[in-house]
Amino acid sequence: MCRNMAGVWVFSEQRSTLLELVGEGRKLADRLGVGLTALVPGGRFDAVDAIAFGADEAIVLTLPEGQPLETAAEAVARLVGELDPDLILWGATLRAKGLAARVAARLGAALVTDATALRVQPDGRIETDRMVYGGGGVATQVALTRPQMIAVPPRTFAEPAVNPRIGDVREVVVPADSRVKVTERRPKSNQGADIAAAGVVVGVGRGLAAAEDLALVEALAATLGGAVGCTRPVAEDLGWLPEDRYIGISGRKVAPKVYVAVGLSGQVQHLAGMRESKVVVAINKDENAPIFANADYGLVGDLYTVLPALTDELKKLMR
Amino acid sequence: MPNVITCYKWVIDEADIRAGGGGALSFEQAGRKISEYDRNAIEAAVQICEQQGGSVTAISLGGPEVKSSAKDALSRGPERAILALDPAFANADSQTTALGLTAAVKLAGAYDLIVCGEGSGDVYAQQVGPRLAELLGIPCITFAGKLTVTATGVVAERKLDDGVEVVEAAFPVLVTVLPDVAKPRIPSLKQVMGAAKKEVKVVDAAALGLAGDALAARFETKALKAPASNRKQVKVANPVALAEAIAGAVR
Repeated sequence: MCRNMAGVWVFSEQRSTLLELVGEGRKLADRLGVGLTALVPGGRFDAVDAIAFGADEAIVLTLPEGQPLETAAEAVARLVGELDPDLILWGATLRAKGLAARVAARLGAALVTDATALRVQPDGRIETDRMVYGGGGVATQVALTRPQMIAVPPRTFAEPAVNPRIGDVREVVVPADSRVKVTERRPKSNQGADIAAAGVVVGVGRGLAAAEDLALVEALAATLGGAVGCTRPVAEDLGWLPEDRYIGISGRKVAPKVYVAVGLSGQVQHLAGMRESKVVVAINKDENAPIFANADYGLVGDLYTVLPALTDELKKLMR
Repeated sequence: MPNVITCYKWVIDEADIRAGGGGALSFEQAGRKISEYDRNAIEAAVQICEQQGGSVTAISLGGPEVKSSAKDALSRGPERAILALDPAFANADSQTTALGLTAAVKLAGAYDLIVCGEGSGDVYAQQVGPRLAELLGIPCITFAGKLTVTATGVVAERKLDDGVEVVEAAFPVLVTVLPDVAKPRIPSLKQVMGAAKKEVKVVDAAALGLAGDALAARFETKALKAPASNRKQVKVANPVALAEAIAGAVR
């Protein structure tokens, strides 16, 4: 039974992330003996879905036309003040991180950004892990303020099964902020496979001598049915791949079945973006490259001779 | 002519951190630097004022060690610095930092625009910018890859998960910027020499009116360790052996 319907809240602007959080939030709410509320911005997807996957109720935040999502901060902080939830899980898209920080500022509350692990403590508080120092450290923390607020990146939790319940959807209308206006939205041009969703990712670094040589990397990725990612310099400094392909603490986070690191040294910032991969394979000509200590299988060698041979061999094996 | 404030953090250089026994982190040899993204923020602020007039004030908050950051920050172009220094600010969390910066911004006088980096190079919580805006009661535009200043406000192109969002906001406004917004300069010798003559105002927590709850810990940190690598670290001899390992893992 629910002691308090406000117990656990989940928020995301993305349907898939919201449902992941509903799945995890349901487990946490049951464990804490409280209710689960889904908070969603209006007009993006049907809030009823949250109830179909396990939420007890949904609150739709209706934003006026042309307002950024973050305008909802004041309204959300007011709801938190009224309903006093124990825990809020935020789907850590960039907009939601900004919204969560602004809500937290109003409440004087702590907020954990990009938690990589959540563990319920005996007292019901949630212990979190997150990366710090560009991926060189992991901080384990418990927030001491109420509500506990934790932002969790998309795809941290599995997609839940349908778990229909009976619950209400209510609407909260967010007043416009006349000082701010969204004048244009340009959806991301789809320049290729979404590396975060790929089962195999081949990541390439500065070991590659020229943009044309990406063909070698692409051939390997194609053989494995995977996508090509890269380190930050390859996208940002050299511009050889679009920015949505760079993997790292400030870039994309990938967790494929197999990650093949090609000609990249394994700086902490990059490792932070691929650490959750199931199996890591490294190819580098420098046997002292840190990537080898972070790989399951390593081959010391020149990528220009290794890649063609590897691709040929895999073509035979993958047939 | 906009009056611009830029905030920066004097962070431990993560390249100097060593992992010892049991994954404990050692900061003994670690130097400090202006956080990478904040260098882009300072540059963006300075370029705006170089083109349009106005002046840039740099603000930082931290423990007493932050005092030595002023020369580096000022050599990058701001005209003056305000340093909020207090032992109580060492390892300050996002809220304490934002509360301290809020008070420091008020000391800086009238302003039109505050430019912050998207996140700090050490903790990368990406919160101080939006929290500061909220506490000041001004609009906030996060993750701007492009920033244009008009006579009355800003137009910013936010690079977000699902694409680009163009946002206009009236002054005063806070913008957090991505590295693409401006490439940091390498200060010239003249700029470095000139930095020593610029005004640096130092204030502590009491002078900023911060005490009690404002400074209290909002987190209990239970551990801070190097990430554990539980990888097999098998060295294979040739591409054929590697192909077999990969094929086995893909299936």
